[in-house]
Amino acid sequence: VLIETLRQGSKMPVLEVPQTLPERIEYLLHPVVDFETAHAPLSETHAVAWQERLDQLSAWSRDPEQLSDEAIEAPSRHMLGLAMDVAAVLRDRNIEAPDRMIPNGDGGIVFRWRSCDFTWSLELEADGSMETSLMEENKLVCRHTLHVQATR
Amino acid sequence: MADFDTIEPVDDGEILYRRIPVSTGWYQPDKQPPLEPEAFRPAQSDTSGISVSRAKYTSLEQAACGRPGKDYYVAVFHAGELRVAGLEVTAKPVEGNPGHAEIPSLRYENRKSRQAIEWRFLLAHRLCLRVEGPFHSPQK
Repeated sequence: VLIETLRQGSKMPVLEVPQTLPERIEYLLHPVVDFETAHAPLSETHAVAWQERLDQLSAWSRDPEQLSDEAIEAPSRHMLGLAMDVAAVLRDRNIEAPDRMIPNGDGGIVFRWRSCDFTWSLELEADGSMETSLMEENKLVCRHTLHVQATR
Repeated sequence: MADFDTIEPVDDGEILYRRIPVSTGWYQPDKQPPLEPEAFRPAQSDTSGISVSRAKYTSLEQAACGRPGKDYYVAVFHAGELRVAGLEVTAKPVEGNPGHAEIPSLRYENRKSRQAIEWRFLLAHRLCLRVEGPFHSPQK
């Protein structure tokens, strides 16, 4: 249902530029998640899954270079810290843990959710910008980007 | 520098390899789908296209060889199927690697274009024939 809402079009305000990290996440996820309605608490399965993601980010943060390779830029510790903050905000908003959480190869991190033929990604870029995108199979349905730097 | 008069074009029937570091998690055989499009995201150095290896000149083990001590998977493709999907494939031999080729359709400067994003998903979810490995790159 959430993905269908995003596919059909965004209701995002375009003039207000969110500043704080929770505001930025809420702005990007607004077409997908109704933040004004209280969500049921996460199941224990999803709470455990979020903890696993946070533990993974923490492990990467101790040694970011494990993610670097020829021409592949690892996320910085700052980026991994930002990703942990984003993960905590999503978890605290009762959003299900992502199916995949991976480096983007260019100094950023991608959170990715899948449902049937739809793939929804939240990408944190090395320059601090954030982007959400929705794919239906291999077609890009829509995407939204916030270029301003987040304040943590 | 390659001798461009003698470069043999990539034939539609050729098999191509793309190296994927295990550490990135871009290929996880226990997940569905197992391969993520980030495996085909151009790096800053990919100004003329992402690199692939031609099976005609390169063994799987050679294609998988990366940083010493690290492990790599190898995604396998059919050149003709890439072209049918609209992706260019060009031979680009370099010193010591006559089997080097590039996909010029995927370059750093166009990495955020709609078409590039869709091609990356297509490569990961439709065009990849299989993934081999992991292979260990020996310490030198």
